[in-house]
Amino acid sequence: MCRGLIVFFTVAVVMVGATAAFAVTGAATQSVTVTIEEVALLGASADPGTFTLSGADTVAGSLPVVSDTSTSLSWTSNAAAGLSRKITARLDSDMPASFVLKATLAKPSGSGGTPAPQRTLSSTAGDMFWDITNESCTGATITFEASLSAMVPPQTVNRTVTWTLSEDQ
Amino acid sequence: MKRTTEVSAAVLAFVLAFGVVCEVWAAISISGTGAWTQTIGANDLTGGAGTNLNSSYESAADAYSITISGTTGPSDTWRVDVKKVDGTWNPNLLLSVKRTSSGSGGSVSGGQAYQQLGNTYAAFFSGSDDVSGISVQLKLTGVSITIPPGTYTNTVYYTVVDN
Repeated sequence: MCRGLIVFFTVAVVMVGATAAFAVTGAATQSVTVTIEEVALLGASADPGTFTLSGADTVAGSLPVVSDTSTSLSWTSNAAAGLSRKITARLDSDMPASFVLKATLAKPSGSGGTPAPQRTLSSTAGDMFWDITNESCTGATITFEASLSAMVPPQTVNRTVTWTLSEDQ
Repeated sequence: MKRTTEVSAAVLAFVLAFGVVCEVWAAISISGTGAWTQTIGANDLTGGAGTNLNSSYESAADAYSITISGTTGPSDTWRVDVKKVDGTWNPNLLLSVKRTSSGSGGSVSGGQAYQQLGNTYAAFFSGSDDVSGISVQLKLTGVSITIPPGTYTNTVYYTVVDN
């Protein structure tokens, strides 16, 4: 009888102990879904000033060259894993004969990309900056250089430069 | 005879204790409804080109509604613990949770300030008696343009512990 009581209490204690061990009595769940969309945003600070090619600052026997560093690009870009973006530049139409417009884009702080060497701009898009991954950068200085390859009659030339942020191929 | 007595005692103890255990196991439960979906894109930049995404986002104040039921009354106290289980997730993204209402029924206390979720249970708020409609709000921080675009999923677990 005594052993029976011991068994009784032993089993009871084990079961009640099990109850205490399982005091957590249920769970409810809530799903959280976050979608980060692709962002590809590029902006230019302003239009550069007018380039005036004259003989005023030109050594006799050489051709005029002027440059402008008053403007910059800023961009915000993210790309899927393994992909990157680039910045290209193109003119709305080619420069007239003997006119040359070149540009470079400086690497801004915080960018992991690579700037291209100075390029001559034309109506065909040319790569100006590569390997842009997930970054937001401001103040990438544009250096324009306008020059003549031969003397021309006085005239005014207007061109629009289109900067594009696109998938790096 | 002695053997029969021991077996009978064991069976009796098992039946009685099992009844108690089942009653406790079935006594209190937690249920909830709601989910949170957040889409982040170019409209969430702090400015224009060159700026980063806003770093934090909040769900609706009642993004999730919790109900505690099956208590034995006002003297039956409990505690809700919370954790997250990462699905496809980015370690820079941080989730926090806070309680925004006390619901109706018994009493509820605590949990009114955001607390960051970890991958193990942590105490969230406590209360007593049956309570329905306890509202919960979530907050996402750590968002940046450096996180690759994609869909990130997580599951928040709420559990009730009978004190």
